[in-house]
Amino acid sequence: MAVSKLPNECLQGIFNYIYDLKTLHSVILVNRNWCQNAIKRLWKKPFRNSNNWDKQIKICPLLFQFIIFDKELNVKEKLVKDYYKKYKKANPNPSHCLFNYPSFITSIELDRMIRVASIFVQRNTSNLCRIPGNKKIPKLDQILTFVFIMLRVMVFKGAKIKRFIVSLKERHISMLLDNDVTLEKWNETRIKIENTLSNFLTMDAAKKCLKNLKYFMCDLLIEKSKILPALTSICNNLQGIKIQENSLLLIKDSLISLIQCQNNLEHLHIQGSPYNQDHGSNITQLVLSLEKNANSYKKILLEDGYVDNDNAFKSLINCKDLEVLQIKDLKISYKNLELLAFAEFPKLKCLSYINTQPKNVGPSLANPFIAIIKNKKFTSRLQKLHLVGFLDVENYNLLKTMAENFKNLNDLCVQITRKEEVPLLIIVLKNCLMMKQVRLVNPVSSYDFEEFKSFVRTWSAEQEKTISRFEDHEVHIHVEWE
Amino acid sequence: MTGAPEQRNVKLTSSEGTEFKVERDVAEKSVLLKNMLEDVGESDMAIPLPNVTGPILQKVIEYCIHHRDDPVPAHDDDTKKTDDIDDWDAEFCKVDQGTLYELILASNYLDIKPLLDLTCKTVANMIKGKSPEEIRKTFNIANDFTPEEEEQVRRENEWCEGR
Repeated sequence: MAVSKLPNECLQGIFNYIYDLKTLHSVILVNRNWCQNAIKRLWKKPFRNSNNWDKQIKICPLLFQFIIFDKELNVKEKLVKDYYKKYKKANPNPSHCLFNYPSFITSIELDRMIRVASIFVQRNTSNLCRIPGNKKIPKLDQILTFVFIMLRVMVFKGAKIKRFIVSLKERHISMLLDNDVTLEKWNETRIKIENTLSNFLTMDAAKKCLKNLKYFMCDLLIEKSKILPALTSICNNLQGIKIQENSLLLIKDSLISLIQCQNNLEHLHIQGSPYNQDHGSNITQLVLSLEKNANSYKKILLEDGYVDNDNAFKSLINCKDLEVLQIKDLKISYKNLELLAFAEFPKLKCLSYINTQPKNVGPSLANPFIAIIKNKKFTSRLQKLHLVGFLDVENYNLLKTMAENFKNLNDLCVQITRKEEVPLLIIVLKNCLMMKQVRLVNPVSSYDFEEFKSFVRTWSAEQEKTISRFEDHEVHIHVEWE
Repeated sequence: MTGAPEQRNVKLTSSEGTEFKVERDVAEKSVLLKNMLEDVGESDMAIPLPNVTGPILQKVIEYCIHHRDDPVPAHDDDTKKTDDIDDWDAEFCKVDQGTLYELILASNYLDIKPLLDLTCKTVANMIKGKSPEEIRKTFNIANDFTPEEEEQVRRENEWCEGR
């Protein structure tokens, strides 16, 4: 049998295992059939990390080319019209593209689009900036105009967007601001980016293309007050939401609305400001609001914020399908942790509690996690446990409880505060033969892990486990097995 | 007292009419057969598989027996790996290209996702890193593009060339 006899769905199944663009580019040049079956995969996510910007920016004129043949796109922006006048002069007989490429795009990643548009603007300075009769258009406006046009082409040509990533990397900000990084300029930029996005989200075509959005992420640097309500009115089938925000309190209501109007939200990641845990980082209402769709959550991550209600975690306890619970740098009362000690979590596989100092706990009190670890309803199934970052609480008994309860861990990250705790850790390792990764943190740097390191080597040899990583950074150790 | 029920054999007939007997849990690795068996209930009638030849059905059964105790595969996601083929599976796929494609067709028809994934991964690994000409040579494919078409495909997709 020849490969040409394989039906299209099987060919596409094969191409789904090819990730590198170079090979995909080869595949589309093999013959017509392979081209037709691989082209969608190639264009699914065209804005990727690249070292070759001169190549990558060629995607811009290609997307703009659709404007020439599609009156519906109705481009009014003078900047683009003028760019096109010049383009047409250089290419008097433009041809239709072979495929409706924008319709294959399934992911909008703002940061990458901005980067591509910035470099496109830089490389085309002579075409874009010297428009007769016009004063120089600020670089930011040029970039955002081209980003907007690309977004508009995608949605008018029928893209079905599944991932919408609205982020901006700090290192790309200077690109936008023409190296004039002042607070005033930055605030202006934030507003302009938000306006660009909210204009985009008001278009009917955009609403249609985002209707079945599965994943939405919006990071710290993006102003969200218009974007969140717009998305709330468009999508209700999101499976994942990740929000990073300095003033969670300010966007609380619109974020709660977005979360609560989803039919099947599985993954939720809320992150406040890592530097500023003031009143604005209060996520109490957000945590309480999880009660409404508790049945749908599989993964919840709460980071950098505080909770000022002793019963807030009651909403988490009702998440019966929860598989991953990750809490990091969250100020929370001891009572909320006690609630977790009685949770059932029949599907929980990963529990991570990092750098969080429970309020009202002093050295004299027991480690609040001991009660959680003793909760056999979920600990016996737990595969991943990260418990680090609490200095004032008892650690020995925590490890003792782990040694008594865990059998199925494959990923463990704990702290070691004194020599006596190491034998307990060794028992955990002996009990959990599936262990793939252990990270130890020594927050008081008074112990050198020598005993543990020598045990790991002997034990791995005995168990015929090959160590693939052994990093010793004195205050922490990282061991991985194949 | 209720013990584990004794497994009944399921009879399958290949396209040439060769009959194969397999235990029910092995047959149920195929979602198509699982659904059929649930719909039809217990029966001594052989299930005809007109799209699968005897030698290929033999290979498929060999795979299903080896993987009979594997858990049901997790939901599909976007992060498909191609470097996670274990030694037995790699050995299983050391067959000529024709057999590999027949296995893809059979696993697609019988709806055995792990086998379909394995065989697709194996072909994908044969494609990786190759130029268009090398791919054509490896898979004996004729280039049916006109020179103009080929040039247009290249030009419209040069944004990803060499990345």
